[in-house]
Amino acid sequence: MIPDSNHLNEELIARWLVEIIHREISKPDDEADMELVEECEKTLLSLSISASLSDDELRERVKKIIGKKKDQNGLHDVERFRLIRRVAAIVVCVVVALFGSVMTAYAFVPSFQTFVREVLNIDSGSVVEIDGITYINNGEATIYSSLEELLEVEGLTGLNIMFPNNLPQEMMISRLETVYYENGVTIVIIFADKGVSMNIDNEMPIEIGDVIDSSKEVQINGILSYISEADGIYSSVSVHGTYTYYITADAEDKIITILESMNLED
Amino acid sequence: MKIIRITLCVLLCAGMLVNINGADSDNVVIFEYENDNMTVIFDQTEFDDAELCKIIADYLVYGAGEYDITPTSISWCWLFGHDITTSTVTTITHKVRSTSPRCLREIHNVDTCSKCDYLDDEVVSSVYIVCHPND
Repeated sequence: MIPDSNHLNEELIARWLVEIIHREISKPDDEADMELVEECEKTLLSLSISASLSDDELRERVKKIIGKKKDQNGLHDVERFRLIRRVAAIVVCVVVALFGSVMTAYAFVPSFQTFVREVLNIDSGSVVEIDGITYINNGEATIYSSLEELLEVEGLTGLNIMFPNNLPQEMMISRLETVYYENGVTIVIIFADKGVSMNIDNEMPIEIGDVIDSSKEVQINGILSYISEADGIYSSVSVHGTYTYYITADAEDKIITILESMNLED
Repeated sequence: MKIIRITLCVLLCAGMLVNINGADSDNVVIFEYENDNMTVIFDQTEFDDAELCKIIADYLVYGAGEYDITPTSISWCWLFGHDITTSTVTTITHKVRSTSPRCLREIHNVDTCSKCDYLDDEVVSSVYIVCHPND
């Protein structure tokens, strides 16, 4: 314990000095600070001789020794204690974060992992889109450079399916998926614009009459489509051949743009 | 604890349902949640685990908040990330709108981890389809 130089207690100072001397002489010769030991010895000797040191003198000696110890260690004992306490606090925080508060810590992990994956350019799934169109069939993803290549390789040509083509950059097709249902298959077209979705079903809905009754009829690109709106979301239903084309978008313009771009793939 | 929680959730869900059908055609597993007007459709070529289908169906219908299967303890995945498999699941929410097309078909990319019970989904497509007639 370091004595307070403003409130001198001779007994405490003596103990403190003995402690310093003992600590220093316990060190190897090249590490021991003999100057400090000498200073402590002098002060200790002075303390044993009653009234040989005034309070001011004693205060100066204590300050001097504290200063020497500070120089020797680089850090004051109090500061060192504070440092240890700080390190201990950090360790405790890390341990608590890792083991004590698993639920809290876990809440941050997915976003952290997402961040790492984004930084390392690793997608969470198997699909990594660089350019072109990704086609997903039964969970297997393949990337094609163009819609034409995709349709040819996947055997989707000659089926008289109409696909959107030459769309503006912000509405480009980024992905196609095929989803199989009980009665058929649906081609899911995913656009770069997240506000637009399109499905092509290989069957005609039985209740098409209801759509005709409740929608606006438009004829674009030779296709008869029915557009309706509810709560700011626009939907269109178009039937061509044996296929039904569903488009849902956050703006009617987007539906019109897609319908205008539709043509037979061959 | 986890088993108890899952069991309670399953019982709760079961109590809320009039009927859940695990209808099974050749390649498709269909779960009908009649009280919630929802149908969940799985392609069996992607999902061969009926129990997992049921968990995912509940998750998509009731949401993570209602059916929380998020891992709560430190695991290999917690430290090093999940071993994710992404599959496609379709949900149809019936009679969302008053007039046709009134049923919302959503295509979900569902991420599952082969090492733990991690589950997440992303809606990649939402279209209104002609499924139910006008009232």
